[in-house]
Amino acid sequence: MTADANKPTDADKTNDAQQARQDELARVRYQAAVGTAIVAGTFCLLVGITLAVAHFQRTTVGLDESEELNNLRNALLKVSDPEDRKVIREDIRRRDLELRQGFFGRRAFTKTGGYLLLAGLVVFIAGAGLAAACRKRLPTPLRADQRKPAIGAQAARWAVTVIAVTLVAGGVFVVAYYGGAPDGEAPDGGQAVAVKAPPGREEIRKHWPRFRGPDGSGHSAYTNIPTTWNGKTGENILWKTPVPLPGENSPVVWGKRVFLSGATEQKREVYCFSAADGKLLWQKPVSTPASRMTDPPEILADTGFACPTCATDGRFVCAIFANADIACFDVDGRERWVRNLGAFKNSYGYASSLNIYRSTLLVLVDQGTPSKPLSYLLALDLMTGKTAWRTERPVSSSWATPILAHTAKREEFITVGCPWVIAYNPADGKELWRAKVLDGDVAPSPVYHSGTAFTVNTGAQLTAIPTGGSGDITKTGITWTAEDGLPDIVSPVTDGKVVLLVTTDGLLTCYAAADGKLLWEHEIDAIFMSSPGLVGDKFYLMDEKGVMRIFITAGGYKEVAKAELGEKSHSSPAFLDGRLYLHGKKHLFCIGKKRTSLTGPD
Amino acid sequence: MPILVALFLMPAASALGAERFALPKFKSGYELPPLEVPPAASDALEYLDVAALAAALALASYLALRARSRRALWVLMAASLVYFGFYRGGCICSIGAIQNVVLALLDNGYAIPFTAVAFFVIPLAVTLLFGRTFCAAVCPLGALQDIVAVRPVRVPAWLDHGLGLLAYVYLGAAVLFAATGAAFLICEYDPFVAIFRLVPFTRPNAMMEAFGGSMGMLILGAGFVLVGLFIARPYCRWLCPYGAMLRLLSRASKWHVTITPDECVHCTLCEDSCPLGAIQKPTTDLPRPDRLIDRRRLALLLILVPLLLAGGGCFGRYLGEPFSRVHFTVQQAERVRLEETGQITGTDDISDAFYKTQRPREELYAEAGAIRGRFDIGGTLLGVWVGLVVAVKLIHLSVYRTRTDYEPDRATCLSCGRCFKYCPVERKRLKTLKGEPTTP
Repeated sequence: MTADANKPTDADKTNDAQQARQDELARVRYQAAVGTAIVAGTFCLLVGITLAVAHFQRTTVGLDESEELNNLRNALLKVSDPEDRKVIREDIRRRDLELRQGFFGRRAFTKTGGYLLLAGLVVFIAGAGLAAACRKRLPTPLRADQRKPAIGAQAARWAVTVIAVTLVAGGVFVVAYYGGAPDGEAPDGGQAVAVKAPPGREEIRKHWPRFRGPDGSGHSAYTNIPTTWNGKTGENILWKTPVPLPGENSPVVWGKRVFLSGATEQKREVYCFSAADGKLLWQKPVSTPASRMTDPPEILADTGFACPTCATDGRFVCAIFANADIACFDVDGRERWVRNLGAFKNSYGYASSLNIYRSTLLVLVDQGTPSKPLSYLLALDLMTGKTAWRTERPVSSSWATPILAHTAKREEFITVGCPWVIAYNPADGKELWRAKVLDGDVAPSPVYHSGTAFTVNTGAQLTAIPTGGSGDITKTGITWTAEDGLPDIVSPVTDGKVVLLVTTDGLLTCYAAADGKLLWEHEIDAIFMSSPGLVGDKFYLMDEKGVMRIFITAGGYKEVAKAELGEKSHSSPAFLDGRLYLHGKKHLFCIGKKRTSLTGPD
Repeated sequence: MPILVALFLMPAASALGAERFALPKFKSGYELPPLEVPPAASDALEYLDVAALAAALALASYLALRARSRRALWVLMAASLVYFGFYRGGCICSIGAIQNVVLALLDNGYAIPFTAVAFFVIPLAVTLLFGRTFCAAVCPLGALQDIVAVRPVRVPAWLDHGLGLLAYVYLGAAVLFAATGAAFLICEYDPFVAIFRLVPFTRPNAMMEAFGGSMGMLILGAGFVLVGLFIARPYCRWLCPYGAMLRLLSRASKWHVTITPDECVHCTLCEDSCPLGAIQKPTTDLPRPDRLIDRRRLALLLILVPLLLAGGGCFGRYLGEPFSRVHFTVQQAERVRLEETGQITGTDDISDAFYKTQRPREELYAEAGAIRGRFDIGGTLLGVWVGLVVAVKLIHLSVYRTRTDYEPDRATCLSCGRCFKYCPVERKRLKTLKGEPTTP
């Protein structure tokens, strides 16, 4: 072997030069790839940080988050001056526009940033991938002593066990953090009491839950009602309590609570009295933004601002006022909801009383004129005050209160207005039947007994209508009509044998319920606004001065007793076990024997 | 099979566009522009999706098993990412289709789209024949992770086995929530869909959806991409519920990709080539573990199986109640109940939605109670499933298997073809194919 043999040949030199060039090229490629990845990565980082900072420290707020906008909205509700309202509205529009512009500007910024980030990521990944590929070398075979065991089965089993235990721990956390009583049952530590189910019909019959009692026809479930009392001497007056604000509404009673409402032009209140001693248990104001913004309605003094009687089901008590404020409280006085139905468009003042049916509050809003009726029947969810359903009515203004009739085959919610008597399904407001038998300003409420509804109004007629029909039954479904002694305010009363009408100026007219035959008439020198009640076979009728006449109708007007409240009154009596509740102009009276005890829930 | 045929034939429910609320009237005289209802997408697109899926699967299987070309697989993978990912917005996808199928099987009122059935069934069938070629180059989620895996490191096998459990748990949870009609978990927590929808090829508002509506999901997706730079396909390996199903089927696949095209020469070159840790080493070169200890361990684990199932079932039942709160009706019932009992004042959108239905509360409570009942049963079954998975996994790790060659783990191998070029036999074959000289 000579020295020349070790000398590189030209071919070797060429190969070395090629290799050097390739190595240089690879180095440059690697450096370029790394540089690209670093630049792109830095760019991505900056864009990402900018986007994140912009996202978390954004200066603009959404429409629903703007405190300024909310303040302006609230201010608009409180201000009544048209010029001021115009200025506030302009401010709201300006701020609303600014917020929208800010919102969309932010979105455009984010969109651009997102594209830049995406482009940067693509470049970064391409650069990093190329750099990694440049450095990748195929491995060399391992010697036997360099080889590692297949897998660490023991370690893998431990890993599986640890993961399983971690999953269990996660589950325990989920149960502890997200578990708990379903349906929100007492998450406040048991203080919250679930609302009871609506009372059944039998339970309702034990109380006086609405205007004219459980069936709205003035019938007492009890016969042990006193017939003598004297408000001035205190005879049989268990207690009498001043009512803070005036109101023509009648008392409603559930268990040991008596509810009333009262109102003036400016104030509206709901009251709860203890049936045991007349103590005012709670007194709650009712107010809505709408009522604060609008002028009080124009009403008749005799109607007042709190003419409609409250309604209760032992869980809630609801009240409505002439300015269309309507409120619901639980029986302990906690406000559930309050809303305003919009100013009523009826003269004299709103007078129709409320009715609770299962979990809805039924509100009759009869307004407008015969040529332009604006009336509707509204069902509000008792829990929230939200509208459950609404049925438009083809009648003009009326002041009567509908009744719920439990007929043989279904429940009917019977309403009266001009000119239609219409029965609805109280569950969904669908019309069942109608009869065109009324006219004028309808104020007397209908009554029901044994499959027949009786409706009446002055200027129209007394009509006996069998329930259970369908469609327009004006020509086919009327049992009988009568036209003497028609009342304009006082509602009729019936015991199934007779129907008694009482006019405001004191004419009592008694008809046979079966065929409408006029049985007798009797005049009393008094003014009547209060609707009569029926206890057993005794009729209770109170005049405007608070004199209660108790009589039977068999064979003519036969007075059994006469009692004086000692105070004027327009309200109708509420009959409970051994007791009688009356709402005078200034006081709430409880009449009964001293030994009678209260029954029913607290 | 009749069920599958029925599922294919089920018509998809059509949707009608309409204003949900009455339009406001402006005193200024401004008139709102009329509601424009875009025309419904053509049915042909659905068939195109299915055809594209079938073609991509066939091509992927050919490229992995016959052509053995990692480069071609990469190109197909990128094409799948563009079409199924960015163009179709990651929906429909086979992973999410699990939920459609489960819901269709349990809810008669749910009309499953034809594409959902096809996307669910076809990859399963192909896996039974050729292994996980769907994961290799067709699944857009896998493709995205594969492409960004620029510097993957090997995850220790023990950790890989442990984390592998999560996919089965996720599968069980997804089935539970879909079966009860509570949620499509896989879709709601798809980490990549926000990224796919960043590129609004077909959806001008998708950008807003991605950034405005689901910033959390975008961050999650970005997190997976960042992790994916250094750990290959983390979602596929440890979370993908469809992958969990494919693992089971791939074990029984008729054909499967191999590391070497011929006989293994035990050169060890491929040993660390797989970033997914899916290459199993021969066991014949190492001493056999003590058989007595192995048997005792196995016997203990077999005794533990019923305990794990029972324990899992009992524990799962407790989870049913909190899980049920994911269901909208249960949330609604709880909200309405809180309002009813006066524990919350005012209403919110959820309770308002109920009140507008005018249904009685008792009906809502009864419905929520029935759903809770289903979750009780579902939670129990989920617990049993997790217990079963843990037991099977532990037993699997405790059974000694004799292996003479380097070969892919049929369950975890995604047929990505990374290992091909490491095999000297393969390199020799390629040179032969190109007509280059090969040294003996």
